[in-house]
Amino acid sequence: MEQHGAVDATATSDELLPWRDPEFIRAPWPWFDRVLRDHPLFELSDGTFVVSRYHDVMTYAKDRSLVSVPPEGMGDDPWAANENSVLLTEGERHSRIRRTFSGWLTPKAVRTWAETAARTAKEALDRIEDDGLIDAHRNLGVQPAQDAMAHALGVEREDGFPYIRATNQTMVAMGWQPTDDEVVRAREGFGFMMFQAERLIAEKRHNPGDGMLLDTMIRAADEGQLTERELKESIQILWGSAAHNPGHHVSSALVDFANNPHAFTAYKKDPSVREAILNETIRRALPEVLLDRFTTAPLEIHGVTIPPGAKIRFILGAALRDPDVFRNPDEFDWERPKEASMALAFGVGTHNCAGQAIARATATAVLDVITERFERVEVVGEPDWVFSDRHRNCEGLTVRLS
Amino acid sequence: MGPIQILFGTESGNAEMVADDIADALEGRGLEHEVSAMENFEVDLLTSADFAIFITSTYGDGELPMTTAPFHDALVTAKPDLRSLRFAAFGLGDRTYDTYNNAVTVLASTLTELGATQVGETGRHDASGGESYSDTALGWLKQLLDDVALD
Ligand code: HEM
Ligand SMILES: Cc1cc2nc3c(=O)[nH]c(=O)nc-3n(C[C@H](O)[C@H](O)[C@H](O)COP(=O)(O)O)c2cc1C
Repeated sequence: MEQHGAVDATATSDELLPWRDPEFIRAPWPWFDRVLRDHPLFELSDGTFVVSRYHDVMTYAKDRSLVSVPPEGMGDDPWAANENSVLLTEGERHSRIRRTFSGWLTPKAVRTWAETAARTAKEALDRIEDDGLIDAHRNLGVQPAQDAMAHALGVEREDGFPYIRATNQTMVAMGWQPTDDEVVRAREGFGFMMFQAERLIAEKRHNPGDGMLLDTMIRAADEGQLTERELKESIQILWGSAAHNPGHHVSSALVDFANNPHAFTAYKKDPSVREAILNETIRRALPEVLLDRFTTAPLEIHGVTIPPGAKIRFILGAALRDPDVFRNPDEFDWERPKEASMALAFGVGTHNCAGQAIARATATAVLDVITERFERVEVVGEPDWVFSDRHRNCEGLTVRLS
Repeated sequence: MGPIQILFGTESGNAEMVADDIADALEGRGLEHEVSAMENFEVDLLTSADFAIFITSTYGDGELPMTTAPFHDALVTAKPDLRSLRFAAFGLGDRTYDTYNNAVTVLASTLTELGATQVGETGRHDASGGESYSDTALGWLKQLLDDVALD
């Protein structure tokens, strides 16, 4: 693959990716295509480096010298609320926390939680009236995923939508130079989710012993394997974000099915192509557009030495449309070569998505249920997308199923 | 011959799926087998086993994953006599790491040092290659069963 010739580490052009431009936020694709072609590695005027090509993101984003917390610390960033979670810890501490729940989110374990997701989706479809209309984001995207996590944790089912709102408020503050107002809203989002996490932990402590995930993690905390703070932040993430990306992914997949009716039909008729179709819907949903990391040691990329303490933005959204790997990236094409893996949408390296298996299993369960009963889907009105330079999500999608 | 012992060690559960796929394939051929998670398996039981299939991923920087590590530690500490054991090995890794599939190599060499005999080639799945776990594992198993008499 041609690569080295095009590296441009001298351009300090802040216009190449205009992070706060509403049009860029809505549809960054032309900007991504340009940096992929002409500036696969470049530096911003504040010293941030930007990496966009598929193979570069795959290779360098997993470098073990990279960390998620900036060298100056989190300061008063609202995301400091997750400083004691897997997201912002490294090394042994990170594995210790992650291992308290990872065994519950394995491809085999999630089959059981996905049955709950299927049941929730079926119940929602049962409620559809003659007009075929359904609030698909809430009922097919969010709630099945929230209920699947309720099952795993061993907690009562609850409306997942307030958590989606709250998580979106926090995600906006992960974007480029959030405004004061966005920071305030992010704190509110964390405040709400932390309060709910505390409540669930207190309720389970009051009524322990079901042996499910929350009970098990509380026991781990009581035995000293997790601090109280680590426990609370872990539950905030698991419960608060259980349905956030899945809700968006399923909504985006339904829009894809509406625009590509042959994909709906193929999914319905041919179980052997379902996984490939699911993969393509995940690539296009792109809930997390990029990953920010910080160097702790010099990191050489294509002959350019990035100094310690620098920020690197790895643009998943560009990598997943790198024409060297994804031909005609705008097309819904589930027959891409098997090397063209969308797994990058779940991140890479130590902080790769802990929820990948449950997200895939619940989405599959929901799409199976929908395609089993219906022939086609139409989008009604405008979906309510919530985008930033850092994330893509949804707060409303109505569809007609027939 | 006693049942084939299928032992898996994992960080995020993919090795468990491979173990189940291999178990199903052995079932299809009428070969008796038992699947166990390494962390629940007493290493001394290996002294009375005839044939075992070890499946492990690699984590960190070429390290043993969460449930392989304690099993490997137990082998190194207890030093069971494995001269009557034949085994095959399959690793899950990612070629974009310099330490591609290091854990399965470490585990196989420890087993060999304890007297066990490895048969067939070590299988390797590359998570960056795009091939499914099942396809790689079952392709490897087929080759193994063609080359080695297990019944
Ligand atoms: C389509 C669905 C999903 C997508 C595309 C997705 C994507 C991602 C990405 C890109 C990351 C890496 C973030 C970073 O490195 O900064 C991540 C991390 C994470 N995700 Fe997901 N996610 C999804 C669903 C879920 C679900 C359902 C859960 C709940 C169990 C979850 C839990 C996590 C956790 C705990 C982390 C942090 C892992 C760590 O730092 O060790 N995700 N996810
Ligand atoms: C943080 C992390 C570190 C990894 N380190 C290595 C490595 O050093 N060598 C390797 O070959 N694979 C490595 N891998 C790839 C895994 O072995 C691979 O994804 C495997 O399929 C995981 O299987 P499991 O779910 O059974 O643990 C790593 C994966 C992650 C997420």
